[in-house]
Amino acid sequence: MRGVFRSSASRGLVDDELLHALGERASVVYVPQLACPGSAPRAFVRVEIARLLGWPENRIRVRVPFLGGGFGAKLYIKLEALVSALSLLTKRPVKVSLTMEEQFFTITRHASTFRIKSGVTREGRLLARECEVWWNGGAYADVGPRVTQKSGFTAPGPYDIEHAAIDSYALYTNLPPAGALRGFGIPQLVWAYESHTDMIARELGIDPVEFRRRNLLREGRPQATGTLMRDAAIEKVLERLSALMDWEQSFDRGSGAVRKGRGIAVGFKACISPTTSVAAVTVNADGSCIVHCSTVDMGQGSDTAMAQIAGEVLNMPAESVSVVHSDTDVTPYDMATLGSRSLYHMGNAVKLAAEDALKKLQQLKSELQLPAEAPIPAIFRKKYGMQAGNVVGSGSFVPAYSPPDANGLTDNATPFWMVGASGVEVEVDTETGRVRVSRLVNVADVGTPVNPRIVETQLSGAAIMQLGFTLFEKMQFDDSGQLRNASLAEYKIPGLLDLPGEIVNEAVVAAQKTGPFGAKGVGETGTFGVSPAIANAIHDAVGVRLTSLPLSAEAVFQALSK
Amino acid sequence: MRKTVRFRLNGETVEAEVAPHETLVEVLQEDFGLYGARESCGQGLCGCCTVLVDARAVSGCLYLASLAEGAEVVTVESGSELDAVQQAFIESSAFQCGFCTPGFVLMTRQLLEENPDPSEDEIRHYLSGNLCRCAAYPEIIEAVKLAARKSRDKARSG
Repeated sequence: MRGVFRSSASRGLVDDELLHALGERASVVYVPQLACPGSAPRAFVRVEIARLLGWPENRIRVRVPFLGGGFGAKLYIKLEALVSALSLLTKRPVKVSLTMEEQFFTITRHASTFRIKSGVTREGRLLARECEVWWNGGAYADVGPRVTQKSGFTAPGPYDIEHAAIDSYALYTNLPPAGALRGFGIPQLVWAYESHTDMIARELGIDPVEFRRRNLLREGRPQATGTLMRDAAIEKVLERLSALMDWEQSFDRGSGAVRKGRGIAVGFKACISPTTSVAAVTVNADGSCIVHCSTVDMGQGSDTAMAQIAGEVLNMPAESVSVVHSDTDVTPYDMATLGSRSLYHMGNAVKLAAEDALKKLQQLKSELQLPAEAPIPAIFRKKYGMQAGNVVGSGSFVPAYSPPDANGLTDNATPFWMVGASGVEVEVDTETGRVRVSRLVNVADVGTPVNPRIVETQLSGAAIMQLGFTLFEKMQFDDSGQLRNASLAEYKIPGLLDLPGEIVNEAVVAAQKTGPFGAKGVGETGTFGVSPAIANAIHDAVGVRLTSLPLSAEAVFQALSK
Repeated sequence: MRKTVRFRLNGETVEAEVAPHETLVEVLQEDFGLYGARESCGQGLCGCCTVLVDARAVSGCLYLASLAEGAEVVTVESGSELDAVQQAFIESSAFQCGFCTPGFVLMTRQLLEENPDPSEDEIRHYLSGNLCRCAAYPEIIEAVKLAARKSRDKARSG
């Protein structure tokens, strides 16, 4: 098995009665997770360890300290059960720390191969799309089957296509196991369908933005599963991206050795469903508040968001709200911190819990015949004669969901849609193949941001991370499947010298009606469009089409030399 | 083969029994409970384990603890309150998970001592040996500029 999974992706353009099949190749290579250390165990981990040991859940306690970013590496249990077993055997505390080299073998992003074929009229209307996606899951399943299904069904892209067929396959191979990595498989899909969509537009001589505009999946229209689109501001995202890119203006492609190009791409994602979040909100006698929830803040800012949500309901500043970190003896059940689900699911649970607490406070006020405007401490002082007691509200949130039928159809595939688009301007050195991104614009529908600054940094960080996956990150396996570059010396991740010249991030004005205060997840959205936008811009600059990631200088140079 | 090493750690004289293979970052964590410097790549390439030895930034994951004999070692935990650099990192949202932040803070301090008014290009080059997987880089550049401004203002008024 080779490490780089090249594949044939073919595209057909249906011209009235003519069909061209153009031989193309599209693939995505392995990248390791490289999460910062620390495991993110939760109720989910407790369930697994309890099952393995045959113990009741209350005999197992999983606490989460401060930890580094996960990006998908910390979903399913990996080392937790081993640590538990070692500790039981030795009757001593056990700590396992992985070296960077070991991290490379623990979990990777799925390499994928996507064969895509579309039928389109001369006027530029997409009529049909056939998608076949192969996910290389490595030696163990981890979350791979869920990536295959929960993301696989979005493979035709955010377009209104009458006839869509999707096959999505999870594969076992003799390579390191693959899981989710910032996007749950979506960046691999968008990479292929947005490169492909751009090729169709350019082949038909239609402007790439205009071609997308004609075919966008609009509000109320059915997605490939049959689920009607709701609160997905795809059109707005495309239009804002076009405006921020000055797309209607002429663009100087340069002359001489360095040529310039620009490209865009838009992607969307469903959220894994059905999943449950439970929260408790305690209001203390002094009017301060504690949120108990098992969402693990690994840097995405969930503690801040949950405090803001509880504070908003209880009409108190976020600074008066503290958030207790995940501890299975203390914090209520949560499925897991993954797939940009927390702000929506746990945010709704925290909002319900805070509303429950508020209702109880109001009941107390009326029982104690206190005026509506009485401050919280006055309630407890009157009830207990001193600063004592507290009120506990609880909230549980499970979104509605319909599982797909035998044909993959469902009227409710996801609790919400995430929409992300990127546009880039690049400079391509035709003598070396080196690609420099001079401008990167990321536009997203995140609903109504709870914390706009955090939203901006999430979009930016995700896009820069994806820039590494796009331009240079690649796990290199030899013919026998041995990894040859398991270190940061040989596997480079983006640093300060790899940043685009300018980065613009924008969340469009939108609302997720079912989300807490109109919000929805954002952690992965910035990754969606980056890879195809760059490939499209390279094509725009120098006329070569790359269909395998990464878009390294060597790959560009070789394509130019053909 | 353990030997006693005496050095100054964040202003206090300390000693530790160290084995020849033990690194400074291991001794800081295991003997002194200081977890600010962390090993990530283990090759001196990511900057997460940065500590100052005799006022010079070194990779704590490669620096043998026994070499610290008689040295002045400073970690991110030094000082009782946040300095201008740390304050600027908070104000600029210059970290997400925070794992790499101690290294960035120490390198930024060293940069500003050498060059109180660095250009954006100088900042990118000076900190290019520090990696942030969350990619909070644009915010880090903002933070360094802000810290430089704060330090210059303080120097002027002080």
